[in-house]
Amino acid sequence: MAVTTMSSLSDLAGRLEQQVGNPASYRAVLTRVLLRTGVNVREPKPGQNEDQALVAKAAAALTEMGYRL
Amino acid sequence: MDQGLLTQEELRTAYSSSIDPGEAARELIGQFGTVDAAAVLFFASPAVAGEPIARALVERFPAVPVIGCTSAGEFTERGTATGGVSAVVLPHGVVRRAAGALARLDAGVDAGIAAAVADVEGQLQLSLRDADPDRYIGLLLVDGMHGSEERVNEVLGNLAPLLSFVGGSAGDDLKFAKTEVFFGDASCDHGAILLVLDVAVPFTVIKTCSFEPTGTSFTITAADVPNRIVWELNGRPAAEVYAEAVQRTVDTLDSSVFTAHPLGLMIDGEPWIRSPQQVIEGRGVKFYCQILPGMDVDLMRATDLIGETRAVMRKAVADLDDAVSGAVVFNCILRRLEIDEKNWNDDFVAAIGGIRVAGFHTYGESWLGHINQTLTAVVFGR
Repeated sequence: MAVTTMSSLSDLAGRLEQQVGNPASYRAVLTRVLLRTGVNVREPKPGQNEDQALVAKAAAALTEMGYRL
Repeated sequence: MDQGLLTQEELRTAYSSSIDPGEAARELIGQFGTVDAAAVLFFASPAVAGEPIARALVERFPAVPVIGCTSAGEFTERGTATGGVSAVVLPHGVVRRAAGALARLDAGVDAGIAAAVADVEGQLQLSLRDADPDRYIGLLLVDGMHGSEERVNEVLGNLAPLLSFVGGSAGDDLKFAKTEVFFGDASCDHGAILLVLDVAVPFTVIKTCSFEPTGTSFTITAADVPNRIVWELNGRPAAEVYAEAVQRTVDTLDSSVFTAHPLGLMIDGEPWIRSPQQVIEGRGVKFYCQILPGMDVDLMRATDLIGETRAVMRKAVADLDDAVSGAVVFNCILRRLEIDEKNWNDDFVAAIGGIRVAGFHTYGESWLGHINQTLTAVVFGR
């Protein structure tokens, strides 16, 4: 599992967007994350943005995809 | 149809209804005409032996990837049917080069896909992780009987997260006994075919399903993910909660209800459909794809399959400035069954037609993940 210092899903999203760059590719990567984890990084439900379990789950999936955030 | 006057920037499509594989192959090759092929795809009913067709296509088109799979119905822009073979040639005017590989999954999906990716990378002399997604695209055929699609897509996402692999799960005319994928003269009933294309023209990926949220949503609170079973919705037995939502009793839930009311994982306002298959002992519901605990899903209702298919195809053509060389299309068997039931075959062909199209009716669709009751396609420009 990824070791993350991110405080929120929005923090995670921002770092990923910087790393990926291309908007279409960024959305595709987050779609992959949602399909394989259930975590909606871009549009979390109220109360989910700072949920550390969800942040860790999404970060782990991104680590598997080669993104070290 | 005489395709001899087509340019090298147009896909060649073909269909044969012959159950003799030799005759089918001759008909397909005859319909292709003279063409400088970069890749060949075929989709064959299990009623027609696929290996002889593959061998004949390999003989006609040596040194290019020939891939295929068994189907639950096949179509081109000229018609849709079962029991035959549809096929398409991607010419060099559309695809600069193509690299394919067979991933045998018996020893594990991760190892099989990794080996196939490495094979393709070696052929292209390119890391798929670094492949420009505006230039390269993958086509994916997965056997439809082993439930491997989710992990196949995940591993592809791990190895090449920016590269789209679009495709479908092989079918077997609703026998649910054995599906096959073909690569060259090899066949495999537990495997996947990767075909990566270095595309010379603009292209676009489309995904369409004819459903909208009803306003009723559920949280998955218990599931057996590998077996695609949901045990609880909102903390209660899944079959009971679903039945209440569709105003039925559990014992009256059948395929017609499930087909009309799948669940949708909403992403950026678009539904990614998860289709229920059956109620199982213990009041769980088995699905045609995985749903994870914690996921929030919407109960969907059907809209306009033909109209929305037509609209998405037209948009794709418009996005390519009305200069289209053709498309490879993957259409869910559940959509085909609805099309058959409502006598929409001609309407479906018209909706995807107007451009050269070849494809098959699948046991599931792939794009970024495994999905149901959806049409996915790659539309190539000029």
